[in-house]
Amino acid sequence: MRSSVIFVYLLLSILCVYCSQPKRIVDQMYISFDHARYCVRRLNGTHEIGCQSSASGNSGRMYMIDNDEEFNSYLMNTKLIDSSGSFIIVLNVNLFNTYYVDKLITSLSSKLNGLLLYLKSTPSRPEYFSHDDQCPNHRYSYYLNQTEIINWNSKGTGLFFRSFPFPIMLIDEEDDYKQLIKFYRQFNYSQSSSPTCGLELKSFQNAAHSSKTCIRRNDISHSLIDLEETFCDPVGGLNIYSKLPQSFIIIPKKRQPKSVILILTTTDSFQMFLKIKGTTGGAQQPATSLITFLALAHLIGQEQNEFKQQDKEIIFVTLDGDALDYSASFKFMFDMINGSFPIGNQNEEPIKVEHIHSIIEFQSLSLTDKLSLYTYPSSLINQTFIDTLVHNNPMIIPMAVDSSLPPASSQIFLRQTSSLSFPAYILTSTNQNQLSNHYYHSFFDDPSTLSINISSLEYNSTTEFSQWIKNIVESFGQTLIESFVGIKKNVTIKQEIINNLVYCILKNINCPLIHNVTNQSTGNSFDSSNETSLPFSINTYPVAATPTFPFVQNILSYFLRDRIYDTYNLNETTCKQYSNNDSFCSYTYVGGYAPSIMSEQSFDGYCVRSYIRSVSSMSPAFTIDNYDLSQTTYPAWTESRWTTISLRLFVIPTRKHEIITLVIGILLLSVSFIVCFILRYYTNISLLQPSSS
Amino acid sequence: MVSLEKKSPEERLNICRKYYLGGFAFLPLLWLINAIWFYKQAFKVEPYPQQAQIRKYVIRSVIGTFIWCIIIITWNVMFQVFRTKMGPIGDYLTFVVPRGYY
Repeated sequence: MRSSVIFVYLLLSILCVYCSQPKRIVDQMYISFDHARYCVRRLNGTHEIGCQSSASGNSGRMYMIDNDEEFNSYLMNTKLIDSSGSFIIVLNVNLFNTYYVDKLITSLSSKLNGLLLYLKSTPSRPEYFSHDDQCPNHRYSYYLNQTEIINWNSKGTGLFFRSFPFPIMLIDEEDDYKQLIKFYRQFNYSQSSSPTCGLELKSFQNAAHSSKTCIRRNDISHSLIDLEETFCDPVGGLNIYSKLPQSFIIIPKKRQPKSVILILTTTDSFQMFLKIKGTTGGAQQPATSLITFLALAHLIGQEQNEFKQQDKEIIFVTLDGDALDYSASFKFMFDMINGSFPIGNQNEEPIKVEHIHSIIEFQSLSLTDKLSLYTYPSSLINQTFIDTLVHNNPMIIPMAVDSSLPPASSQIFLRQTSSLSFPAYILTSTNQNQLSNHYYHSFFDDPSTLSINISSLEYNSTTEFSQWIKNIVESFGQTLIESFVGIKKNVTIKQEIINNLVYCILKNINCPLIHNVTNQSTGNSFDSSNETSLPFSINTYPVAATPTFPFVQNILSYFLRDRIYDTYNLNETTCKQYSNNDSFCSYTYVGGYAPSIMSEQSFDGYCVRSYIRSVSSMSPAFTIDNYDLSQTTYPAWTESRWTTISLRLFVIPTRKHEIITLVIGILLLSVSFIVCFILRYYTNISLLQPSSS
Repeated sequence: MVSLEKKSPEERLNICRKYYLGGFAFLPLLWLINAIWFYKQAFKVEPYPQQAQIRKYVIRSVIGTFIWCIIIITWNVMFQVFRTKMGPIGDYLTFVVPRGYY
């Protein structure tokens, strides 16, 4: 008995030594691509859009199509198509449009198990790549009484809003492409009877059918057995607004009609292909508008003594969630009509529709020579304001009276007030009713489209782009002062401030600017997003830990701070004491951003008195009681939840190889049975019984 | 295991009756077990005085099982076909809500 124990122990130790390789067999079978972009499912009140795979992944034989000739020869090659039950088509990203995709779907029908797009190299990106509709945000005719549909995004494929029964992924890194093509060339020589490459795409989405179904299922829980499982989250982020903290209309003082000017921009975008820790695009829309917006806020803050002399308030508002059916604008107007704008202090007189003087919006700006100014309605616009603006900045071209508006949040502001209350001025980069952005709502919308070499961009580099922004912002600031204060004044903003904003937003959020305008703990929260640009994507509620909102909140409130406090040398405790006495403003103790401070003395720390408010920008569809989500009064977009996303490559062996493997397996099984039987029959050793010797 | 041969005929009748009456409490499996278990006793063994009563119970159990089968199969088919068309009720009746599919 003892010798048998020793024998078994020796055998096991030898096996452990020789077989303890660090890789599991499954790792040697698959090559996984961890940096692939994937398409997810989103839902609105009645439909679902996006892609869905099966829970264990969609796999199939890989076939690569690089250009139009290969595409046609593949579709005519019926022998190849019949040879396999499912295909994953690897398509050049230039071929990703409705023509090719529809042809593939109709020819292959259920055999098409997935699409993998590839980008050969960064310089070879397609000239146009936008999967938004040709007329963005046209659903439920939010456009105002327009008889003709204008295709602002004429090269848009609309594929983002289609529902695919298979997963679609995209490889945009050159190393991944090289690896893919290496394996493909190695294995795919002849059409059949040789091992071929196969791909497995897994991007299982939890939600299904429509927002209404999905939200209903969120609330179902048979609490005896399981916990509630969340299938989807409503789309929404934060609407942030701020203004100069000069005077507040405290009840019972009445607010004057037409005394509030709103300046709007958006902080979100979407892309069809997402990547964890990847760029989200959004450089032209909304980053350019956001940078212009923040720089203008700084200029207004700089000239606050002038603005103190008149009675109009300028409120800067960022909207998050407008890329999908203007959810944030609907929420903002809903709040305003119901008297909860501005939120926070009950003693502050609410701002209602009659108090709004006008709205000014920065939307879809690109680095173009000319900018278009759209205004509506002609009965309410102030022509002198337009003339002053054009005079101060000849780049701005006013569009014809009552011409159709481009996709912009102002459309909803006008729609909800029936265009009777206030005019809208929209500054955008369009050319003959076409948006200048070739990559509208796509991840390719990166700083290279703004003539910025992002790898060599420093914290204080002056680029053509930042000079262009300075030009626009200064002329705008000048126009605002001329129109509302009534004096002609040449205002300037330091180039350094714009350079810093461009660097922080487009290259690295964890920049000195954000640390100078926040207190210690908030500043430290940005360390985790080091070397990443500001993400512009669809945000869902509950709000994830995206750095976009703290970034905008802190910078906007700092730029519009009460500058008298720059001259006071205060310490942190005094600052806290001030905040106890003031219920309208917030007081933070920060290090101070030098280029913004005008006074000659400089202190170690500054107490910043500012007015900032943030409201959830989820569509009113989700907050109104008993609202039927399939109604079209308000948009009801939700995003599905998902767990693992993976892309793996493996080799599909030939039929002969599979049969041989099976036969060897069965043989091994029978041989092991026979060996055990012989051992048991011819020996007296039984390892399970206690020793009887 | 209860062996029916070891029991007296009165005890057998007693067991059969208990199963038969228990099945009325929405327990069709009791009727099924009753029918299978007492089939031999009711039809294959030489007659004894309680066999007539046992035979009656077994036949009624079979009929009851059959009716229940119809009800359950019908409901199963109806639910599977109309689950999505029923709207919210379909979701509230579903015990394991499907992920990713309607």
